[in-house]
Amino acid sequence: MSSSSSSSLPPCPKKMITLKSSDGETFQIEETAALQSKTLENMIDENCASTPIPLRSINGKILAKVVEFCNKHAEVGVDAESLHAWDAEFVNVEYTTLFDYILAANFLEIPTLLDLASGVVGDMIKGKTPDEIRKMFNINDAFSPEEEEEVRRANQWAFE
Amino acid sequence: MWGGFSFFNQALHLLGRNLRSRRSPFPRPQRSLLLDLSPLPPNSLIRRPKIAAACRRTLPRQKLVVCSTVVSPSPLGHLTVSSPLASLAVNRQCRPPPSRSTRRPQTSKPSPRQEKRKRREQKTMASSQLPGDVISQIISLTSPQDACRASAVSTSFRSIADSDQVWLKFLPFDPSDLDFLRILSMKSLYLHLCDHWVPVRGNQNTIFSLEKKSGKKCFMIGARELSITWGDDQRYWFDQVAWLLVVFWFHITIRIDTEMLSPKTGYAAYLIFRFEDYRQGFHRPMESRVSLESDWHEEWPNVILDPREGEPQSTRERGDGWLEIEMGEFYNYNGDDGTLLCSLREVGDYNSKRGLIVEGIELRPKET
Repeated sequence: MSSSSSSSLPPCPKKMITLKSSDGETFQIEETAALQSKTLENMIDENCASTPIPLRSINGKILAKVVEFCNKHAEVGVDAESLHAWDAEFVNVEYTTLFDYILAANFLEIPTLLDLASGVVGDMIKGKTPDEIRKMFNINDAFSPEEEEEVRRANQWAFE
Repeated sequence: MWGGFSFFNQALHLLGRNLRSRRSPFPRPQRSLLLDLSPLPPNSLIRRPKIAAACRRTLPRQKLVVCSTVVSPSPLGHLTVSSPLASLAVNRQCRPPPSRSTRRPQTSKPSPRQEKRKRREQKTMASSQLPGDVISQIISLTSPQDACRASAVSTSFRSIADSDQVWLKFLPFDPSDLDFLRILSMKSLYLHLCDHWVPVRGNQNTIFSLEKKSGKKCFMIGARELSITWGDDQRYWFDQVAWLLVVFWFHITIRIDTEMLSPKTGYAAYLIFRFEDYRQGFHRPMESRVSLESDWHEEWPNVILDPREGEPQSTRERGDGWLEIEMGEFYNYNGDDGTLLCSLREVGDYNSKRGLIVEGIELRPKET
């Protein structure tokens, strides 16, 4: 009897949060999905999430992907294997985009996304020469040739 | 330990054997090592308050200290640094730090204000401006070899790639659980463990080391730990190596808990041995088993220690005066499979065997 009365009740409305990207786009995300971000969780706890949250360091394109990631990881009943496959597809992008994911995940403190994207970048730099890494990370404080030689000598075994 | 070592040499000398030049890692005398004492973070895990206080009092930040290290793990990887060492470290800190340290790039972690500024800058496309802690995480997900390569990328990369945060991830145990005086940089600790054999649980006859490129654990179980069955009782022990005079049955065994091995790693076991000038009886196949103790097969593969001329040779010169022969392979999944058993036996005939010297059995990640 009690069950029939409870089922007749309208479903509790899902609590939504609005995020605003650096270029002014707004995104709706369920609170349960948003809780994966420690930054958003803190804002929710402090009741700062009732108005759109401006995220000035994340553009609309990246924020859309981050919201998609959080929604996917908040889904219930997804088995580990298919989630793993979904993740692999999600990070199958250019490394510049991965860097953007990492920056967004770092800012929003989403450890799952941060670990996932960092792991892929880690795999990318495996076996790369310092020069290749420099290009990839757009490094401009490179060593002088003498300094680099010294570092190479100190870590000789790693270059063999 | 020194006593044992010199006794060993003495005994061999007395017997006129020329073993001394062949270096056995059992037991290694302690070596000196350059240990990086910098930076001593305020929250470092120093469990010995006295030493900690002395270090804080006498050591300014960022200073290199030369000391002799005694790293003796008492469960595996349970590092203890004895207090004489610590006092040595403190006493010698007056030595001027190598100039290298002064040129060392300053703090790898930016201040909160710098970080804020960084984030503001990241409003625009910012792939070149990953924060240091993110780069640190990325590097720690590669390998020790890649981290060393990354240190040649740039000044900022170097300070990250050499940091404790990164190298802690490469160590196969967690020093925060340990009674461990954190005065070494994790990189120098790592490299020390690659170049030295270190006793496991204080047991001088089971020693471990790290494979440099991967950080996986290698083990050497010295002859003292081998369980050796001789058909008759004519056995001779010379402190660290097993010296076979004459036997008819030959059977040696070691057991090691798979928990101690690196997970998800293929290992191979090698018998480390050599022959005396006169040897006899080792040209026959021996049954060689490397498997979980719980596994059982009717037959095991064979190896021949001393093949006759023209027969395939499967022994290898190690370059340290010893020979090795692969006994078999084993894949360690999660280290929860129980005990690994390595054995070598030849009990089928009653021919006498003589002239074999066994240093031990080495378990190391299989070269791929």
